[in-house]
Amino acid sequence: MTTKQILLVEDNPDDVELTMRAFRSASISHTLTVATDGAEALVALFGPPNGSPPAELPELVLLDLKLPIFDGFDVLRRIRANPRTRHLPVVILTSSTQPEDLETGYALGANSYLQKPVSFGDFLTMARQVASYWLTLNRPAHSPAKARVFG
Amino acid sequence: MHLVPRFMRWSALSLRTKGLIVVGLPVLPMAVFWAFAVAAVIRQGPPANTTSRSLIVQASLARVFSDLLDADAAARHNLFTDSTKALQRYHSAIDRLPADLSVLDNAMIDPSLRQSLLKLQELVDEELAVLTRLTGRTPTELAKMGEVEALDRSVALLEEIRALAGTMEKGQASLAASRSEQNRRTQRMIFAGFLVISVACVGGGILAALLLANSVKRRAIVLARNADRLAHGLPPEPLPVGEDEIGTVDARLREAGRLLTRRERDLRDRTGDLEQANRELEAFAYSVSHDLRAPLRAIDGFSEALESDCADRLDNGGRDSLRRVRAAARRMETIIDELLALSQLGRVEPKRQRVDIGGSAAAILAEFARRSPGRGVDITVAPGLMADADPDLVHIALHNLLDNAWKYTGKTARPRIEVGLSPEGSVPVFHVRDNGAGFDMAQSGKLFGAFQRLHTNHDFEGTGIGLATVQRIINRHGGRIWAESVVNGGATFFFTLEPDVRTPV
Repeated sequence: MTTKQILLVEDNPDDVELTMRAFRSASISHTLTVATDGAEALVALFGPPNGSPPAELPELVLLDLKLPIFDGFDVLRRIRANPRTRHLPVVILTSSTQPEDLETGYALGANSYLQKPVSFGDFLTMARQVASYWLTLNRPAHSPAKARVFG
Repeated sequence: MHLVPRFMRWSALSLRTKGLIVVGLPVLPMAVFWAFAVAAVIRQGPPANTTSRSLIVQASLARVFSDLLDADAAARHNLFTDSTKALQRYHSAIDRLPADLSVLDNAMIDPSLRQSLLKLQELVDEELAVLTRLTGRTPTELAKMGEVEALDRSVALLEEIRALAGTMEKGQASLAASRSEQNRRTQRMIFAGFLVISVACVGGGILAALLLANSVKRRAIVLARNADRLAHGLPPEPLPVGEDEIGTVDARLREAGRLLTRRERDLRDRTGDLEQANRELEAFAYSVSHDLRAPLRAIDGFSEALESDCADRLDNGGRDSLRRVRAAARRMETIIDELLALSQLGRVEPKRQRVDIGGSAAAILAEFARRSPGRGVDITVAPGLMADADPDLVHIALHNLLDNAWKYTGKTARPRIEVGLSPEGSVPVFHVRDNGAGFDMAQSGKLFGAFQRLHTNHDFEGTGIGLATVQRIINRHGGRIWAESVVNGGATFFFTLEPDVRTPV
């Protein structure tokens, strides 16, 4: 039995640390896998370029938009294009306040678009809400692991 | 090159000259014709004269002849009877003669008949001489002197005079007839000439006027089309030749078009530069807001981490310092948000619709009251405050103005905020009035500048962007905003939401 995981795609180490603290404070037991750029995120989801895909998929992807190599929208596009990852919940977590980014995010199939608050208190609240909504209420019912158990 | 000299070419003539030609073409020949006609009539003299003169000639010829006949008869009577009465008759007949001859002389003025008149005079003189020889004598004396043949001579002369008088009478009559015939011919000719010339002149005039009108119209149409083309930025069509006023206007139009095109190009270049600068500024604002947020988040987040992880190692002073760090981060976040909003106002175009200013203001104030109960602000919103404006932008502007009013009445004993309509100006002037801290009117120039603050953060918190944002919104609507205030006596902000036609640009 592997531990359930969340993929955090975030290039800013401060934000990575703060997100980890927030999830820890919110008592979320999932492993937080970190990808610091778009390419790493793709490897984490689809495996290395000539290798096999990873056995386990994360239960949730937290996606920053401004990323080196591939930006957040590229990663989102790949996720939605692949049948294996099509149903993954993807929450965009960004500093961007541009209305265009929000529109593009939803148009490409993001499940939620959250603006990172400056206040750590607000950030903590947001982490709790994300966890309760996406990890508890809306667990993917058709995850491959479960299918194997019941099938 | 043209074979015709320049001043004779129709196209080289000015409209004024062409107009004069068009008017002169029918008038001038008509005038010349009338001059000739009047001259002919004058030369001919009054037509009735000739006829009446011929009657006078006829009568006076008859009288002259009868005078001579009387004289001859009286002389003969006297000769044979020696009657004194006969001698008297003879003398009276001779006396009448000069007057009758003089009338004849005056009436017969035609040179062709003067010759006959001289001849008549000769004959009359000779007859008088013959009759003189007969009077005062007896037939015997006459025979003795050998002058009996005088009797025959008188008869022959009288016969000759009668014949001459007849000829003269006829000559005068035929002259009169030919004169009146000539008159009729002249009249007919004048009438026919008048008819022909009139028709020719009117026809020519119409033709010339049509030619002129057509040439003016044709080129005026091209001119009008060229003006349209220039207005749409198209090159003008060539104008049909002409060096008159229309040609001048066309040349000016072309020059104006060239200048316009050049200025438009300059303007486009400048607008392009401006748009580029605007885009860069927006990109800058966006990147600032994005890039400054992350460190702020780190400052706040790690301050919190320090607070909770090292709580046992921090004294009150340390905890207070951390609280201040976090408060400063929060304030900076507000500044960044407002600055970003201000930078984005530049590209929104107000979408006008009916906006309930009063309702909007009341809702905002109600929200303020809910957030800080116990303030007890006396709020007055005038009824029926409506405007045609962008509801979202107006909401932001009202929010900022009312937020100021709310904030600056924070230290007032009986705070009062009033939203209303001022009875002045050709467009509605709305106002937000408070009885708060106010500001020094000497500083009012700084009121609407970004980051300009008239109060210290110690007295009243603020970013200095609120009123800059309000002004930006009002300006986007073409309106104006201004303020009146007394220090510690409150402030009133007036604003309009549409261009005031009377305000000079």
